[in-house]
Amino acid sequence: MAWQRRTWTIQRVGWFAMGAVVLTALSGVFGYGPVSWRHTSDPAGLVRMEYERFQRQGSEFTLRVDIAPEAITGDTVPLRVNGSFLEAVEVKGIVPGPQEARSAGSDVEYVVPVAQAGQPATIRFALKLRETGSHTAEIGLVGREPARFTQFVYP
Amino acid sequence: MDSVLRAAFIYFFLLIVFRIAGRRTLSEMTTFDFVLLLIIGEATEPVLLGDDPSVVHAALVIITLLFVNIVMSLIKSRSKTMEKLMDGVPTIIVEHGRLMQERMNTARVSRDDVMEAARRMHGIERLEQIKYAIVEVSGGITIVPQASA
Repeated sequence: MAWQRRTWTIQRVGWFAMGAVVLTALSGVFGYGPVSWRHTSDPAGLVRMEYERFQRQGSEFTLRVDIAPEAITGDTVPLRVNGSFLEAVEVKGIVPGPQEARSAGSDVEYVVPVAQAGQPATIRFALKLRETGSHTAEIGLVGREPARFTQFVYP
Repeated sequence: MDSVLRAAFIYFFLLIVFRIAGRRTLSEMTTFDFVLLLIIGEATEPVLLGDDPSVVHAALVIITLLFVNIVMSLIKSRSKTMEKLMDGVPTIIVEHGRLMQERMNTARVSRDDVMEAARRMHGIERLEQIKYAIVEVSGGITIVPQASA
C-alpha cells in the first residue's frame, strides 16, 4: 500500500507536469504560438523579417522578408542568404521567383524582380526545416549588413 | 541509428505517460476510450515510420490527449450529471426473466446476445434464471442470476 500511495503522489505530480507542458505548448515555446512569433530587421532598417523563434523538425513555414522602399532602386533587388541557414532548411519556393540565383562563397545571392522602384517589396520564402538544433539566418541586401535571427528546431 | 533511438524514445515516453495517466484512464474501455487509444496510435505512427519526423510534435499531441482525458475523468468523478452526459448510463434489459423488448430494440441488443452472455458468465440456460441483465456503459452485458439458480 505504501508503494501504491507513492505511485499516486507521483501521478498527481505528473498530472500537473502534463498540464504545464500543455500550457507551455499553447504559448508557443514548442513552436507556433505567441512566444514564437518574432520579427527582426537589419541595422539600417531596410530589411524586416517575420520568423518563428521555435520550430519543429520537418515542419514548413513561410519566412516573410519586407524590403523598405528606399532600398529598391532598380527593377530587381539582390538578397543574400547565408549558407549555413540554407543547409539547415530546404527552400521549397520563393515568391516572387528570383530572376537569378548565384553562389557567393557558401552564401547564395537571389536577384528578385520588383514591379516598381521606390515601392516596398515583400519576398516570401517557403521553407522546410531539416536540421534539428539552433541555427542562425543572415538575410540582407547585397553589400549591406544583413538582418539576423536565430531559430531553434526541436527534434 | 535514428530509427532505434526513435522507437526507444517512444516506448519509454508512452510507458511513463500511461503510468502517470493511471489505471483508470484506459482500462475501463468505453467506446470513446477505445477511439482515444486509436488516435494515440495514429499520432505515434508518423514518428516511427512516416513523413513527420518530429518526436516533440507527437509527444505534445499524446500528452494533450491524455491530459484532457485526465481532466475529463476528474470532472466526471466530481459531477454525476457530467458523467451521465459523457459516458451514458447502464440500462436494464431483463428483469426477473422478462425481456424488456422496447429497451432492447433501442439498445440494439438481441435475445441471443443476452443468452450468450448468460451462458458464458453463469452457465445459465433459460431466461427465467436471469434476475437482471444490464447493458453496461462499456457496451458489455452483465447478468445477475436468480438467487435460487
